[in-house]
Amino acid sequence: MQENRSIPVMDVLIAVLLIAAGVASAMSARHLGKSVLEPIGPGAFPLAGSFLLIALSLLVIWRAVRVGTTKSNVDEFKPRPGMAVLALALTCAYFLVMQLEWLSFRWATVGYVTLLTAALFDWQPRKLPAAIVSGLIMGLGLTYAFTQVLYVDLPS
Amino acid sequence: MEFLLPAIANVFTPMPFLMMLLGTTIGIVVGAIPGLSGGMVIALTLPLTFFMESTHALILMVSMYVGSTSGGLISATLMRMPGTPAALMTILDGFPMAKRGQPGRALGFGIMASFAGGMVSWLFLALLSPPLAEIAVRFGPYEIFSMTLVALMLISAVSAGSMIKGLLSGFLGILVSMVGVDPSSGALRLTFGVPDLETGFRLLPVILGMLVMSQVIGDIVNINQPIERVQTSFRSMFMSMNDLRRQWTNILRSSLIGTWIGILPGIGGTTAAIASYTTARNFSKTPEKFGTGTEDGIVAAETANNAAVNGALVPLITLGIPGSVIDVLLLGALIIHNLTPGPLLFQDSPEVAYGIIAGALVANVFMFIFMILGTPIIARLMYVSRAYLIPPIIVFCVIGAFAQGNRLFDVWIMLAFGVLGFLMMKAKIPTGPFVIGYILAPIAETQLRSGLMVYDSSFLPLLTRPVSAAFLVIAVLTLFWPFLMKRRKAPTAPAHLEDE
Amino acid sequence: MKLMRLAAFAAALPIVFGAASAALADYPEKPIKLIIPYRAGGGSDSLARTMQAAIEKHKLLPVPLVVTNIDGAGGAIAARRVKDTKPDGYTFLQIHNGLFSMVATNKLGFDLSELKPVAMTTQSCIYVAVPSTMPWKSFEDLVADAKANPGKFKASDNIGGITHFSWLQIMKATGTEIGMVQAGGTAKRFAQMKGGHTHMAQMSPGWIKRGGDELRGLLWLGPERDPAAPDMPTALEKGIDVTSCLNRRFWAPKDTPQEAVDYFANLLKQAMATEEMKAYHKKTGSHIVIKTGAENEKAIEKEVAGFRAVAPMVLKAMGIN
Repeated sequence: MQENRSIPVMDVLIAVLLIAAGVASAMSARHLGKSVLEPIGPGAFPLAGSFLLIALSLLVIWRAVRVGTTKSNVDEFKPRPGMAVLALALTCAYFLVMQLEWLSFRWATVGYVTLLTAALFDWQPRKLPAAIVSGLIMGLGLTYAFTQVLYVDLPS
Repeated sequence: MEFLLPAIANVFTPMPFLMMLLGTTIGIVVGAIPGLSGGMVIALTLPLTFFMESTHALILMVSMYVGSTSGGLISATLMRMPGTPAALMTILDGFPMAKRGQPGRALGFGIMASFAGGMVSWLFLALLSPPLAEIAVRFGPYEIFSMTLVALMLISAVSAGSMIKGLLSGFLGILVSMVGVDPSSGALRLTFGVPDLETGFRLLPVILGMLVMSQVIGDIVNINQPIERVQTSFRSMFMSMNDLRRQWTNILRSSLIGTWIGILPGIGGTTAAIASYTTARNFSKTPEKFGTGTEDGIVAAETANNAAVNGALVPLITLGIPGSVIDVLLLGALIIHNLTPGPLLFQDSPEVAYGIIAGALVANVFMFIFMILGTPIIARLMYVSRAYLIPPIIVFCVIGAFAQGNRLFDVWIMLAFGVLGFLMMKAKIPTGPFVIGYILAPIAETQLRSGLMVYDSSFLPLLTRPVSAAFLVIAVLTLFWPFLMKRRKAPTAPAHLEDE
Repeated sequence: MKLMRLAAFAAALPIVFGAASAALADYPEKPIKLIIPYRAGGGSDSLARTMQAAIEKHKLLPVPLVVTNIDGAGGAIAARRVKDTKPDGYTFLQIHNGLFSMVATNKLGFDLSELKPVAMTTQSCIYVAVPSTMPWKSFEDLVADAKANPGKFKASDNIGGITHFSWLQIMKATGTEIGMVQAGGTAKRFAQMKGGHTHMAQMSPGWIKRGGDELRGLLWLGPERDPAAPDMPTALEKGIDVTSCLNRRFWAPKDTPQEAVDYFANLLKQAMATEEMKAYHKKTGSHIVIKTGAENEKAIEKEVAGFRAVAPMVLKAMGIN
């Protein structure tokens, strides 16, 4: 039983991240003044929130190190973190081409949906036509629906 | 009554009826597809309602809420996956019964229970809300503050997984909500000198990231997840009179538990299903049968999660406090349509307040009909490959995040919260408390500070005003609830499927 | 028959004028963007969208007018965006005098001279209301009671907003001390008063009708009495030198060509003359008040000075010293 014990890395990672966030916001909130209308002022809630966040994060780290975790649920399938990284990279590229105004929402979306769908199917050639159709429907169809029917602004 | 009957009649006029039809159908289908949840589709719908009439928008969203809570039982029973988190407890008995060769019977019990739970709790919604709003008009800043405090305590205390992690998530949400303009004084805070942050982290980018994008990243990681199939035959989907006679106490009890947990602000369907399932087992003469495919378990879980839907609408329309995470989105829809959620909604826009109540009723009836007739079709739709679904969902997230402020900055924020939410789920930190904290903290802070302005900087009225004092006591009790409950045995839900 | 032809002629008139001014230069040759610094569905947004529909219907502009909402930070985000865009005459901003409150409290982040005023079109004055459960029948009653009990009475308000400035001006002029309580928009102020937690608030003119017999208007803060409430005296009549109105103006980036500015100002005038815009102003209880050029600039100067005079007190309430 005891052999299975391990430190949950993700818990520690998140806790450290949150401590950093807590410290940063506490530093920022420290400079906020007091209001003449009420005794609390704009700084009190963010300060209290930051301290509690830091305290709870420390507690999580302490528990992670002291108690650890027993690996109980073994996934019966292979997780694909690489696929998620690829998808995120594609997504960032999608945002960037719109941000830099290289492509309009319409064509950026056609390309993005086609590529991501194909990637999620592990680039199987027989799924490629379906991916392209999906991309065209999303890019052209959504642009039409949102700008002509619903009047929602889209990234230009 | 003078408003309710016309409101129900209004749902049957073309446009609202179409919205109800669309909402319920989409809700059921999305609820049935694992990896998509009701919260996701309602969050994605929110930006689409910008230019709809407010009553239509709310009817659409309430119908989706009702539909998605019910649709989850199909995949829970046939695939052993909760199509939507609220269907979690349905797996325990629904799947074994289906595997035993009685999928029709398992689905039939689930559908009937959902319908019954919805109807009983609807009575509470319709009868309780108007008088409650009447009382709540008198509530001052301190009463609302104390009430919000109860909600904040509840969500972290009752959330699945560890309480510390629930609180951690809640406080992170609180801190995120503080960025930008202080709602009490107009002063800027926590912007770190970044001008774009002066808007703060807005509702849509945050919610779409936390609730939808995070889930999508999780779905991509799990893209190889095999899907279990049960031989499907849909005979004997109706409960017999005999079944009903055996189940009516269970239905009534589970409805009451579901409605009550729904009414408690901040927690909804999943918690309701867990509580009602546990209670049903404690009351049962044959508790050992729970988890092996007993009808009592299916009925308890499905009655309660649907009852919670209507229960959770009570605090939303009477107090402007969301009764569950999905209600946060309905609250957002009200605000986007320039309506002030709270007790005056009944006075200012009765057509919207009663429209929500009427929509819930009609959607529940339609859900029953559609589920009975459509389940065989939905059962096939559930197996659609996620590779087709994921890219369009991300594109909808982009549109939604962009639409609120016309800035690509918000789209990046959405992605950042998506990654954060995913990491949190990996660390078994529930995202529900984050969303509730994010929504409730600004209410709590402004009300407390307004209270200080009303009562000349004195905190004392928090304790001397009876309603406020009572809520404070409940808040403290709630904080200690987990320690009291620890002695009881409760079936634990996997932490990543937290409340919605 | 004759009548119809006459009507058609009248409807065609603005097109002729529009075409005439467009002929002066190639301007405008692409869509003109109108930025609204608040979210869709609010007062600023509905004015812009009604105007856009009216301009389209009467064909006042040969190119499309695109309304875009960029909300956040009380309008500062949008104002900054407009300031930084290319001054080519294709981007305009519509914002009310909340802009000046940001100038006075240093929240805008740049100098007002970075924006070029185009025109003021709409004025919607504010009034002091009390719940009808309060005994005060006139503003003098309120002042007398407030003087006898300094700090006892509370007003629901939006701290840092324009009504906060006018409260401070009123308190200064009458020598009273009224406690400010944060509520938010007018609907929330109404809710707070109705709950019996506060005793007064400044409300927008739409509430004269909407508030029904639950509200009693005591003091009109417009320059003269309003037809919607002819019995409500103005502050000026009472010898209190305070006016407070929501003045909606249009702006452009600083270096926008004067030609484009004049063209757009003229377009606004034509739009305000349409039946649609008249109906809109009537519905919202506001009035069409057109000011351009030097007249507009003078009015702006006066308003900014009014905000600056009480700004230190507002900053104190915001916790900024």
